[in-house]
Amino acid sequence: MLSLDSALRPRAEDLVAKVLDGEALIINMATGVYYSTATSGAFIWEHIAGGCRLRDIAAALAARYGIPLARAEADVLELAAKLLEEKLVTPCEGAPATTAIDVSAIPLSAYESPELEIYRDIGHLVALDPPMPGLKDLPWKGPSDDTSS
Amino acid sequence: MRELFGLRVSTGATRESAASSDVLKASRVRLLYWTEVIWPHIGGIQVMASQTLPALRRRGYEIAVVSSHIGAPLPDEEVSAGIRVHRFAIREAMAANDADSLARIAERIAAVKRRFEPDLVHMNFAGPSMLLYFRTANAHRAPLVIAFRGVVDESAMPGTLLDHAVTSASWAVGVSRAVLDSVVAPFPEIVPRASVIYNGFKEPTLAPAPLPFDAPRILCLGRLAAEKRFDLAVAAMPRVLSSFPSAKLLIAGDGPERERLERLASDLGIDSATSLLGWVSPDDVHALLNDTTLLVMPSRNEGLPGVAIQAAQMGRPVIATRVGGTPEVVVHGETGLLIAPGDAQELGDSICTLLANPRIARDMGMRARERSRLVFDWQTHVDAYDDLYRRVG
Repeated sequence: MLSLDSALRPRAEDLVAKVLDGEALIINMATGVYYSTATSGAFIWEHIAGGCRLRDIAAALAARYGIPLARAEADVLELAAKLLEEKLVTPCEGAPATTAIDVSAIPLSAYESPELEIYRDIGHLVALDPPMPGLKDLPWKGPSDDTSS
Repeated sequence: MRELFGLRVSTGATRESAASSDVLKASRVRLLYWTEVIWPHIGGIQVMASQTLPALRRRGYEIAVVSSHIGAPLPDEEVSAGIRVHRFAIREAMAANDADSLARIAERIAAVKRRFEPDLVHMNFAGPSMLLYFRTANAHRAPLVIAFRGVVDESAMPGTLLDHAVTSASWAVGVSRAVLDSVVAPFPEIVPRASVIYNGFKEPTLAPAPLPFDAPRILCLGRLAAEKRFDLAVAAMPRVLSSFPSAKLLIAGDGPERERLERLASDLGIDSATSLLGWVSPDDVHALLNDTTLLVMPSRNEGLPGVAIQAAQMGRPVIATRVGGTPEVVVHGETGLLIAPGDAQELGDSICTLLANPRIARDMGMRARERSRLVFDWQTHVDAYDDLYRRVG
């Protein structure tokens, strides 16, 4: 049962993930589905991956953005539920991390509730038309610089 | 407007539109053209882009291209005909599930967007690189025109690239009615923001040569990929050779099916009647068509087959499967023959029908040529995109 006292961990055996420039990109290698979540979502993902309790993550969000704690808690729970539903995380066994969250790390911008963007057909599209090494002798250069219309 | 082959076609708008475009030349539009693969790779999209983008540039557009490497050792960035092309190893990173590389590529794409500040983005649907377009949405926002070039066979399932694309698009273009219908079916809300723009082709510099019948040459032209079903053309050849022993099958293009096609020709004992030519430069396609009797397109699906239009320009009849936008190019019994997909027997019979009736084949070729000039006119095509971009951008 998911609650604010829960801590989750990414299912590292199936996932690769990268947080860069305030956005998290998560790839489920088992299914070929890609996920993306920005700003508040990336912050939540990063601290879930760090083993923090959801309650601590919500408190940090509320403090940094100056939003009501209840809203932050609802948003964190909602994103956590989606991550669980997509099988990107699993409940963490053992005591959660007690590391203090550095709220200054969140970029300054207006608060938006976290969204988990899902791209279910990327793996399929890559498999459908994979890179083609060996096209070394293409007999064409592309457009010429002629001026006819 | 006049009625031709059952289509209402515009014959007088070109000059007017060109004149209005001249007036608009003064305002510069920055167009970011997003496509999975760009020249020198060979394919319908690449050939169209190689002509349309320079034409738009001459009308005052400033154009940058974002595309993928797809294996070939090409520069990350180069300027070609005044158009800056950026290539990223997106497919390779995706194939390797390499999130670090994808994140770095996204940063570089975001930098391109911020630097170029496009007034609008044109995107060819669909390929996995679109993910990075959406991931870098905040770098610079601009209206999005999505061109659908193939029939979409997806449902309106949330969380697909198609869903993201339609939701984000300011305008959707189908290269044929069939293609646009396949998008509208799952997404009817796109109708007020959608139109068909046929691809147009420049008038060839070569005059059509007579169709050769004493040694008939049957051409398949395109990427050697499973969906092109060139194997059916090979499988149809024993039937053709039984009636026309001097016939030859030419297969121009390259791709993953090459070995399979060679093996099939060998298994059927028709190696000597089959030639796999490899890639042919788009600059040489009209000359190749001019040396053939007819074009065969047994594809499983087609959005709007440019090769069939080029064959029509050279007065060649086309035998093609009744799929996607092909019936909008090939008018059955008028400019060629349409057959059921997947049927080598019917394909062989149809080839024999045209080879046995040179007069009918020649007439079809001439009608195809006349129709291609009216329906797939180059200037009309460029005008249509110019008008759309200026309206949306």
